[in-house]
Amino acid sequence: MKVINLHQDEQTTIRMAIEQNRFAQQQIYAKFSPKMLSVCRQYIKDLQQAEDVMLTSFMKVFTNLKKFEHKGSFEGWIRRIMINECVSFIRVQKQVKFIEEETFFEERHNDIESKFSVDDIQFLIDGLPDGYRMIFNLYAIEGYKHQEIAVMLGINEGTSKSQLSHARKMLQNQINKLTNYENGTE
Amino acid sequence: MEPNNIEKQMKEKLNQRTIQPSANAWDRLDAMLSVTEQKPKRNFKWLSFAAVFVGFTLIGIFILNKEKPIENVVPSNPIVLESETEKVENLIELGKENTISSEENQEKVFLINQSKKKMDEQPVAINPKKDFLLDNHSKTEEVIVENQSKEVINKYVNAKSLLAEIETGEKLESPTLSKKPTVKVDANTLLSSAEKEVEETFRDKVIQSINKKYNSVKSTLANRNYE
Repeated sequence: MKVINLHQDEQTTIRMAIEQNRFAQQQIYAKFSPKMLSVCRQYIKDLQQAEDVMLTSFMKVFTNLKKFEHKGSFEGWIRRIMINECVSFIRVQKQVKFIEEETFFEERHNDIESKFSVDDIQFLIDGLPDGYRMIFNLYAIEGYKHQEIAVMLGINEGTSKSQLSHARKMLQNQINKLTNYENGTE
Repeated sequence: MEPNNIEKQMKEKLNQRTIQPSANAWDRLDAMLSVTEQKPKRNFKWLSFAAVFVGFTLIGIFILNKEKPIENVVPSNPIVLESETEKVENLIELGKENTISSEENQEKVFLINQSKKKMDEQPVAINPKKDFLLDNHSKTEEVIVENQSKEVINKYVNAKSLLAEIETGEKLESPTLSKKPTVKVDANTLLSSAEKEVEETFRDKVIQSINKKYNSVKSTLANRNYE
């Protein structure tokens, strides 16, 4: 009895997608779109807009698939495209301007042990202004360095640091408010 | 600036999260992809080659047509001549069919022969007696008539004269078209003379206008003194 392998390996799917095989493209989309929409949603408050950006990013993924060198993970490559697209969307649509601040303070944050749901986390992030949210996401969630963020956004490294400290401070206040609300102290 | 516990927690939870896109999201992406994929499929190379080929052939045809000298079409009236020959042939055939011994036929044949005589440079001497034997020589007669028509085909023949010729057997003198102008005109001399004429007229005009202006100025000055 011959067993037919229905699940092709990733490289074959990518190769087929490069040859504009729609089935392979759909397979890639089906595999990564839920995660990528989540990534886009981190940066963009509106879910519909986040989906639009995700689709545009997938377009870029399929048109630039030849450039993927199979060195890193394919998911990481797609994720980077998504993040870049989100950043450019926010910068163009929201017209975010960063105030150049070289001085920043080292914030002291309390390690809160309370567990938040993912919706709570998204709610907290959504509460941040676009600029803060963007830098916070890039640094704290994606793990970019300040230097990389500065290059990506065309700002100084110090500005990135100061924006992050502002974002953290604001987030801390919101977390405190949320915990107090949950504990019934407020 | 190290990420704290809450940030680690955020990272973990957000990385695990998945949001299912809307049902028509793939259709939208599919439409976008098909729009971008259609563009490179169009092969404009062949189209450009075809356009160049067509262009060159058109230019070639144009040049060839331009180089061909325009032939002067001599107005000929072959239809009239053909009708004449047909008439003649018909007459001959009539002659064949009918009894040649009749006097009318004799006359007709005589008329035909007369017309032939005048058209032909070397007239064939036709004896009326001989014509009685037309049934024997009808074929040769037809050949003669055809030959005559071929010779005459390039000559301009007036319709009236032809009619008269057939009816009476006498050739009318019709005003013939002058074949070629006897006076030769050189194109260059004609052109130069025309240019000269134009130049002269221009010069005259300039002189006239200067004179006019001079006179007007003169008269105004004279009037000014009076005023």
